[in-house]
Amino acid sequence: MTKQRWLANLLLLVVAILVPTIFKTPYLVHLFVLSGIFALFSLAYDIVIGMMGQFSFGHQALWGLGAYISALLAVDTGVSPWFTIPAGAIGTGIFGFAMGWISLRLRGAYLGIITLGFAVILQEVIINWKTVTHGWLQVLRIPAPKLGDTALNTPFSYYYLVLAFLLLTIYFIKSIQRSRFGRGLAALRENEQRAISLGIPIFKYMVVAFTISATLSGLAGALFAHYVHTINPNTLATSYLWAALIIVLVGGSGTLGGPLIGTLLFIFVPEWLRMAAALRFAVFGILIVVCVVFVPEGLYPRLLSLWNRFIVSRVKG
Amino acid sequence: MGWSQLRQQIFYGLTNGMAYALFAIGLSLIWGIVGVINLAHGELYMLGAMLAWLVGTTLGLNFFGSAIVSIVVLGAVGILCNRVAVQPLLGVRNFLLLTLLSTLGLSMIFMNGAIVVWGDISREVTTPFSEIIKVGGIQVSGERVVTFAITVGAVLLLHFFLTRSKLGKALRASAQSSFGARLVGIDLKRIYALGFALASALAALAGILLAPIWYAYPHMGQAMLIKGFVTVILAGLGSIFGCVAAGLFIGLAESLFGYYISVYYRDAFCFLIMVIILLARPTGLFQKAG
Amino acid sequence: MIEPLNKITTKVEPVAILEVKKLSKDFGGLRAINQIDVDVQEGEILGVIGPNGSGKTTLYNLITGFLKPTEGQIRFKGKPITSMRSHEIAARGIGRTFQLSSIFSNLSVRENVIIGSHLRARDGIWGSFFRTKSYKEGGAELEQRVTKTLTFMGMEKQADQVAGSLPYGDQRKLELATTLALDPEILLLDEPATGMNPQETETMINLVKLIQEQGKTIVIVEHNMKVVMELCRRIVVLDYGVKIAEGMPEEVTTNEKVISVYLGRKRKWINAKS
Repeated sequence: MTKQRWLANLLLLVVAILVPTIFKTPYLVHLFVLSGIFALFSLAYDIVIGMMGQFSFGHQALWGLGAYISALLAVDTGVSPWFTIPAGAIGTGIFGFAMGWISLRLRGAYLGIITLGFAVILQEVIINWKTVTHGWLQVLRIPAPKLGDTALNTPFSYYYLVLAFLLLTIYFIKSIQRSRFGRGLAALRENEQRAISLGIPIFKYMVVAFTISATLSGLAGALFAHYVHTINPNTLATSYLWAALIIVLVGGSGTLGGPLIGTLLFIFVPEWLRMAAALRFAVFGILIVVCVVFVPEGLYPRLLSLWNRFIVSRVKG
Repeated sequence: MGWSQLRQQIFYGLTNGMAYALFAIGLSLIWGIVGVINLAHGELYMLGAMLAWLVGTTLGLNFFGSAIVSIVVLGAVGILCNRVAVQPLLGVRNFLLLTLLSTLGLSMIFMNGAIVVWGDISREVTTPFSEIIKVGGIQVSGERVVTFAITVGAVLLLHFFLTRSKLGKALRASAQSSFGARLVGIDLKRIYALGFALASALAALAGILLAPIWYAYPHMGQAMLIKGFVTVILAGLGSIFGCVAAGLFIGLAESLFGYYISVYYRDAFCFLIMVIILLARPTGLFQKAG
Repeated sequence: MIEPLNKITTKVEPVAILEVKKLSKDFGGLRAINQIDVDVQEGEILGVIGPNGSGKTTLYNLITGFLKPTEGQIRFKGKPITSMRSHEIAARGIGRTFQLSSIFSNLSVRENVIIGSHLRARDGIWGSFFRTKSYKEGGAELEQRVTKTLTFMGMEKQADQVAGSLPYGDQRKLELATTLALDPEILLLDEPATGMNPQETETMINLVKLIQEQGKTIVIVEHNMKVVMELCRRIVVLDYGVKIAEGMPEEVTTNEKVISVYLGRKRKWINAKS
């Protein structure tokens, strides 16, 4: 990549590491922790939306499932979160594999609806299987992971845990983009029939990509559970789906920077709208419509192209 | 024995189903004609109910008056929605996803706007036909019967409009092929506006008829929306009568399953049926061209 | 008289690389393809012609697995491929182009060809994640193959252009380049010269000849008779899903039945021959 890009990334990395030092208030750091978790979820979601070019309206269930698996293991069997969090991710990955294998025979809105079906069914099962999932009674006192004797239950400490996972995820997604598999996904997104005629096994690729997306979504959900310490069936609500959708589309799907910018806006803009809850969301809705209509390609791509034009005009001028 | 219970559940199922159908038709129209999944449809339904209630209580209009005002206003709101959230995105890449998001934004504006104006509470709505009478051993509420009858009427009217009138045929042509429609000189922008107006009017009608049965509250659109999607998908794109059949099917299946097997897994059951049907017949049960 | 020993000739049997036996396809009540028998010889350029709707593209779709036949068998290099999935058939060595230019419009020319080389690429995810040596080698190898293919097609200068911005003739060249990158043994071309001006058509003809010289077998569905007559040593004629003639160009173009099917195009035939 260009030297400019490399430097920009390095700068961002340094800033990210120094966030708790720069923003000293616990509440602000808390917002950054949430940003990290939602960014992870959105990047996972964008594997399906942006990289693969398909629909999914069921990812909220993958997020919630990861949370539940990890939380229940930690609370009801006492296993350390260092094990339950990966277990949550892997368990969700397995469910995601089944979900993808069944659903990816369809396309477009039909694929969206069938994945939504999976989500609704899963949520209902979680609500009703009271003996295992606690039903509507929340899963309480979910422990934070421990480093030696200290529990990572402050925003400051948890921030670095989330950041580590986020950086790993970003690197992983970059690796996919630079690999044969990533190109295959791009091919099937751009022209499915042509990809098939060039020997690319698209069903297999889609299921694998969906499974990866599910695993990472479960990871995000598990990290969420061990941070907020309480979950209930509303953790699978469609609100989380809308969050991911807003983040990915407003930020810019198919890019790495898109979900990252989108997450920061999604978490921080409502904070800046200092007004009563409902009015705040109504205004947020207005902002969403404005963004989508005026910047349909996403904010990150638009900023990039503005930056390039700026550079070009500086060079020429 | 349980025969009267069975009849009661069937009655609920069929009337619920008709309600789902009335709600779904608007959704299906917009998806078929404009190619948009309108996530704000539930909110248009809710606004229809709320506005009628508001007009009735503040201006003192009777039920029919409030209904007509509400339907007309919501039709205009629908045109506005199209202008603001759909029209600017025509021809853009990822149109379906982007309009999904823009209509989601609209739904946030409407729902939260309603909370701010009306408060986040449930309201009881009364109508001239709120009586419940006993017929054939079951409880029959006037509101349910009226909803059923009006939906049937609306469907027939719509069918005649779409098949006999020039405007209706233009709508159907645009649903089949926007390219072809443009070739024969149809102004797509006006067609889309008309489609939205029609769909929103139907949504408002549904809200007005159903608020007495299920209460009026700002979130009422959200619950209906998912049912609406399932109905549209099962019906297959572009089939008005399919919406009726699919709606009735879902209403009935839901009621019977909920009463006899498990009320807890009722929603899951409906979705399971939908998943199975989608896998078996990906284009829906009653797919028809227009 | 005794034949001199060095004059003993051995007859070389033509090898059929692709065999289509009694192939039929029904769509509901309509029989689109009816009992077609075609053998494609290795290394030849076979033409498939016929009026619109005669089933030429359907034939391609059946061979490449995009459609399942109602009856009949298809064999590639002796092995049956009738029930194989499309991508497996492509992986076996059957490449194709489409009637409406099928490229990845939003990607660059180079990226298009890279995707064509997908099956030969060696840079998988794990290599990418751990930055292994074989990943880097695979990447370099890929670059080389792509450059070679682009140079062969005369498209090196356009390598970084967005595919969708190319003029139509170049888009079809790109489609051919991408199919070549697959390194197939047989190429099924669907109207490669349609919509091209005389210059582009000439370029296309030359390219196809060069591809054949590399040892590949080619089947061409075409309406442009000039292309067919110049390239094809054998021609098959379809009408309403039935093979009505097969043979050398001169035989086929003077065949009564073929002429009657193309009634009104007799003049075109005569012009093409001269």
